[in-house]
Amino acid sequence: MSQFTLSVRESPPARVIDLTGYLDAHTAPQLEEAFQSLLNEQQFNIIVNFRDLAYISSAGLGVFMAFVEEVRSNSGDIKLAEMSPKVYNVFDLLGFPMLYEIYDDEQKARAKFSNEGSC
Amino acid sequence: MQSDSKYIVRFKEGILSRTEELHRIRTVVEDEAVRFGFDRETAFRMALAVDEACTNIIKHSYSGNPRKKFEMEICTGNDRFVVVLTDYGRSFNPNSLPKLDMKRYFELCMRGGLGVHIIKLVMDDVAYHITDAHANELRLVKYLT
Repeated sequence: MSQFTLSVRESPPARVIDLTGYLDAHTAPQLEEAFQSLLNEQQFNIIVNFRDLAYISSAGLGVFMAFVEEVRSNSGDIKLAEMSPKVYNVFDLLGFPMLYEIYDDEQKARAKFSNEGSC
Repeated sequence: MQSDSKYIVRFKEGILSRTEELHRIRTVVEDEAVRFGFDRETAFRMALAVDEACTNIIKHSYSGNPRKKFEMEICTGNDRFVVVLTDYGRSFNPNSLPKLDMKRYFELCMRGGLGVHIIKLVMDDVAYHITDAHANELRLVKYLT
């Protein structure tokens, strides 16, 4: 059984990471690699789409913490979109909405990047 | 705990210290918690807390050695659901960590410590002790009320 998959697509002015399955200590290194690749390519406008993610633990949350500072210092952002209530509750439990913009629709996250005018 | 006749052991197993096992552990905990009477949302959070505790054993207590094993026992009695995790690695008392101030955590872009914070937020009691056999025993308790 494949517990977790991710894919990256272009959606100007951002790159979108689509997550599927279960994001825990076993699978979080895959997300870490994806973020590192985007940063290596100087891509700092990043949307993470959680539509098909069923689960996240602190190992997954830690990946966002690991990259947010570098992304923002390069005038970009990590915006989060389309979380299920279960996954949102984990973010909310720890107060992550204080630090990250969370959208119910990926389009809104993209529009925010466009309005911010940074690429 | 085994000597306390009020408790019924619902699950007991030795588990390889590998992150591949986390998915199965969560499924067991969530299913048993629902069967005991918790709603799905609470059971999901309890499974998350146990995932965090097991991750700490795998990563820190056993430093990622996949040949090590730890034990998980789920017991219930009256209104309480108890998960006991026992390992034989490096000792660590989660209660020795100060409570996380998340505002400060985000301001300083800190790392680590979130798992223990989740465990304490989700479970009603978190108790750690070293057994006579020099094992680390972590008891996570959630009350049904």
